[in-house]
Amino acid sequence: MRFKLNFILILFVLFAGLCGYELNANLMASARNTTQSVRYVRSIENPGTANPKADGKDNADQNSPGQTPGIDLDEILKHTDLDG
Amino acid sequence: MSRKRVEQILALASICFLFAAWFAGGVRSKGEILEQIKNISSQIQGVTQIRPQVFEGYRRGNPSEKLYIGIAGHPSYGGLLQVAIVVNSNQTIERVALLQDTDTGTYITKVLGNGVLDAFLGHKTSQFPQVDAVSGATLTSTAMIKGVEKAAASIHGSFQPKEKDAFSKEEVVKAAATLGLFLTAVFISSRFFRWNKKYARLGLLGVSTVILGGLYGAQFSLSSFVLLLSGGWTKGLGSYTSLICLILALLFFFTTRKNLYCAMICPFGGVQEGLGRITRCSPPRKREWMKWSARLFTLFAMGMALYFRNASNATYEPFGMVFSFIGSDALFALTILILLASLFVRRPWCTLFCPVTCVFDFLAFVRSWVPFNREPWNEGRKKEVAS
Repeated sequence: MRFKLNFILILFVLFAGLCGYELNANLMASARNTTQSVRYVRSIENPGTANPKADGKDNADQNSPGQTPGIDLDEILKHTDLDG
Repeated sequence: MSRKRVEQILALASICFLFAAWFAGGVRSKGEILEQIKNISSQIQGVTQIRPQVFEGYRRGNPSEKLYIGIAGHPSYGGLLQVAIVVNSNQTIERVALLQDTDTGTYITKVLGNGVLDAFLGHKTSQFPQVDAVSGATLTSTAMIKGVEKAAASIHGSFQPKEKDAFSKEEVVKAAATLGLFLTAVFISSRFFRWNKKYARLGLLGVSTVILGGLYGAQFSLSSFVLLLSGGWTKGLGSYTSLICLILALLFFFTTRKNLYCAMICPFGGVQEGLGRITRCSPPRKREWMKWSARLFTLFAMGMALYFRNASNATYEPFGMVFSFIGSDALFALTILILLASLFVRRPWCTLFCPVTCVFDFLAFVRSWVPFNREPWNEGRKKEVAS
């Protein structure tokens, strides 16, 4: 009997913990969306298919053009001595 | 002060709390649109509204280069989903943004991760690409695609905002099936049913688990209550089945004075009960503080969801994970825990933590205040007190 009572107690605490975690995640996402006011933005200069970020992790500034570091292979090859 | 009086005061306080949260949420969301446009791009300046849902601005440092911002919404699973597009003077879509959604975060992440919105970038508003809906999140992806199309139509001036999205035939069939389940439950619980009620109840629970849970994925949850209270459904929904299920459950709860939904129809209850029948386990004994903790948790979740105007905020039940396999890691762990625990105690989730049970407890308590609908036990107690 005592075992069953303890089992139910542990079960309840686990339910509360997991549900609390889920609820907290939902509310944090909503609070973040409220602060940023836009949930997801992608621009033509910086489409997000390569590295999509959802759930409000993006904002407009992250997507503004000219901020993405890129690798220009032609530029690298121009300055590289390929013949050794 | 008697216990009943204290409970009455707490019930009134919780109604006031929900109303205050809803009111504060309304104040918070005022003037949000212009702030959202500002955040879509810092390149857009001088934004003015030219038509309903259409704004005009210019590119930073170049006032002659006009940009048009179209905003449109389309009903999704949890309510209205709102998107915005930024179109330049060549009619090319330069930016896409998701402004507002009330769907479960996992669905949104899945659809955005599949590049449904990104697919429109660089295309002209007159030549849309063929974008397919994401399997498993069809309503959310359709809402995004339709939203972009409506936003483009708004910019062109060809969109009719009064156009209503018609009830599909599939929705009508789902609603009829749900009504059929409730009518069967009423018949089984009535005195006209002359056969074995225990097996009939279990049979109906099994059928409901297959139809409402497995086929339709239309089990209502706490977010459905929030959706009903906040009025979010008036802006349109992708699927009305879970809301209809909730309305029927409330209707039959108040007319028959029985919680038929939890006893005979709840699909997740059916799964737990089925597992419990294997081991023939007994229901858990819930202590008083557990009952009140679960109620407080439910009230807090509802209040916050009303404040943020997002019904899916109140979703912490594992229903979506059980029947659609969509949800967070925490919900996955919770589902496994409940299914395992169902082998040791009967209906552990329903008895210990289900928010729907808490809401029905609250409604049963409030129902006893109504003079013509008093519970028999309450009448008896009243007579005792009077004597």
